Amino acid sequence: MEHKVKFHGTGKEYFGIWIVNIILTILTIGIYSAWAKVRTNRYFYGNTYIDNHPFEYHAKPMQILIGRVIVVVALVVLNVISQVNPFFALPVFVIYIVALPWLVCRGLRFSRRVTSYRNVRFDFVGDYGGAFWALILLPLLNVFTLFLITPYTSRAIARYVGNNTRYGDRPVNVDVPVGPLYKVLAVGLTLIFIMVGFALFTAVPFFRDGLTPGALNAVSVAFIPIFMLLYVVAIVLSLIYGATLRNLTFNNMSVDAKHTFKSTVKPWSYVGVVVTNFLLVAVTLGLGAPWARVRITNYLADNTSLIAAGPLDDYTSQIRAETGVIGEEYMDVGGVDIGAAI
Amino acid sequence: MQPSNEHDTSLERALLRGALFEAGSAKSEDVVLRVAGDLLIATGVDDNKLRLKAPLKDVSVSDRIAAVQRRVSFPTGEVFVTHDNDGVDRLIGVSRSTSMVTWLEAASFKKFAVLVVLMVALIAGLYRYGLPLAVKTAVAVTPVPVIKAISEASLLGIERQLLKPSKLPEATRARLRAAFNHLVSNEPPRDERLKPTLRFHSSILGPNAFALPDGTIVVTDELVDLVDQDVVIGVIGHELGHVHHAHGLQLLYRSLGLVALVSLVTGDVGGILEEVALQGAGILSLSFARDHEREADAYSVEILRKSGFDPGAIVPFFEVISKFEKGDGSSNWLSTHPTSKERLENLKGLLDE
Repeated sequence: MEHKVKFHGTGKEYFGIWIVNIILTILTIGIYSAWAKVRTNRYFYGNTYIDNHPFEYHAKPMQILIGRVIVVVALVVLNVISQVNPFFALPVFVIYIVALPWLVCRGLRFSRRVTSYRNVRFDFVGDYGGAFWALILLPLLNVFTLFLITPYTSRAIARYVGNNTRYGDRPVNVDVPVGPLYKVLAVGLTLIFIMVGFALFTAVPFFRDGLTPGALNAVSVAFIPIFMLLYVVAIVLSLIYGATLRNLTFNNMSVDAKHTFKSTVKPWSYVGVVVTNFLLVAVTLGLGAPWARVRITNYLADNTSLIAAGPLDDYTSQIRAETGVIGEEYMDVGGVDIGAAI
Repeated sequence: MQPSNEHDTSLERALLRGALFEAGSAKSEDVVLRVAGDLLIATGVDDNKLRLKAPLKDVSVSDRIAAVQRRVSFPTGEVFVTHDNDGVDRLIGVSRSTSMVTWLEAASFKKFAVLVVLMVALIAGLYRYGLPLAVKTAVAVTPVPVIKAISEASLLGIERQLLKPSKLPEATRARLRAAFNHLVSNEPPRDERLKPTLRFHSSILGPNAFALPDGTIVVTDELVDLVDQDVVIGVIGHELGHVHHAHGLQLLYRSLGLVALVSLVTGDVGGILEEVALQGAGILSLSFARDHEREADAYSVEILRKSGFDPGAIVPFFEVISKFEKGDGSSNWLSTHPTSKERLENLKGLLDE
């Protein structure tokens, strides 16, 4: 039985929540941002339905606020330390690297445990080692192989995030084939390679008199349009890669080894929605952001469905202790996006 | 609260239909919820039999957000959910602050217009008054050791890459140093530990001079070779102006404050737009850098006059560098410094006083 995911939010409704959030956050010098976050999440989770049941978000603003304060203070202190004395920059960097997997793992656990569907909570059981492999070691290896193993990195993250997720006490399983990702990567890298090659080729005449500062200057001015074009191409490629990864993740995911999912996002129409959203927000000087967010949420919901292979009310929550919020707040405040589709 | 329609009898208003979930279970059943005295009672829709009851004060109700399903949690773990938000408010009541937020959020374009104006005014006010105040306070409370540490660290960075030992004759250095000490003696520093010091370096930066927040002033050999020594003294006066007004720290705190301000406002927008807003704010900051240059020019005139030097000593410097400038002689919004033509005009105004 196929259940389409439905999103019932509207831009007008969310605009009210959004603007009140901003105003109260400014008036309270940031304190309300914790309440703002909970209200926003409750709005988006609570308007996302499968089989006429919404998701629910249960985090308490006060716990978010405490986590947020700790994270902001820690980030400011670490930043100031490495700014004031460059000798501390390396130790601070090492602290980030060592702490990141722990923070992400705890962060995922928190956000899963405060999410429920049909009164049954999600959970996350991933450990430090798994996060270290998927988020530090593989990406590092990826850099050394000139990004040629990017699909394997994406797969490792999808596995870590997916396979460690629980719905109640039931497992979630995810695997992502790397073949289709390599196709996107191949086209993208070829395109970038051609552009860079073309740029270098046109740069040659500038250096007839050797590497003079004047020539370097002239080249950097002449290349501004090329750099901008490269930037746009890179963004479009990452969107197409992201859309492909999302489809692959959902189409290869199951809950309780029987319910499966279907994602039918067309990469180019996804690019269209994101680009027009960007223009909408830019033209309205930010005021259109709520409509943009509702629009992309709607688009993704419309392209997702759950294929149930049995009753959906046959599940129970595992009773678990509350978990720390610091990892989750670090991901939120620090803008850490690990690029998992789920 | 008013009844929503004609058929709403008082009995119906006291009833709430929804689904009751067993504790931690995905199974639910349609029930009716009502208040009897200080008890909350759930009965089955089909058989009208009692399912659950609990003291009203022990149940917790989620806040109202648009049309999102409300959640009434019982102390024993059962959960009642309903989309009848008005019904929940009538039956169980709402706190004043919650209803205030809900009222503000509720869609009406007239209300939104007021909120947009309020938001723009708040952001503008914070940028125009809050930020300068915060910067001023931060500059005033920064401990001297921190200023020292920041300056030493940045000098170390610059030194390694851009500076080499000076090759100026000892006599030239001594003469400039004497003039420098004379200038400094006419303006007591705000803290003894921040007494300005002068350093000479040969540098690939070319003819240049710069100041660090702790009062360290670096003059390049190339500058001393390019212009007369009187002019160098004028330039040193300018750099002392940056130190006196703590321009370095001001710019540092301003950029930190802008990041905080932008993330406060765009916390809900995020991504590339936050980047755009930051760049925009950065460009606006450049006008402050240009103001700092004007302030430092004025200080140069003032301190040289006070010390008995020619107050217009810096003027030939701008005449020299204006020859290297292109364009129509007006600075634009992407300049870090005003053009020499503008600065010469400002200086003439000051010297005529």
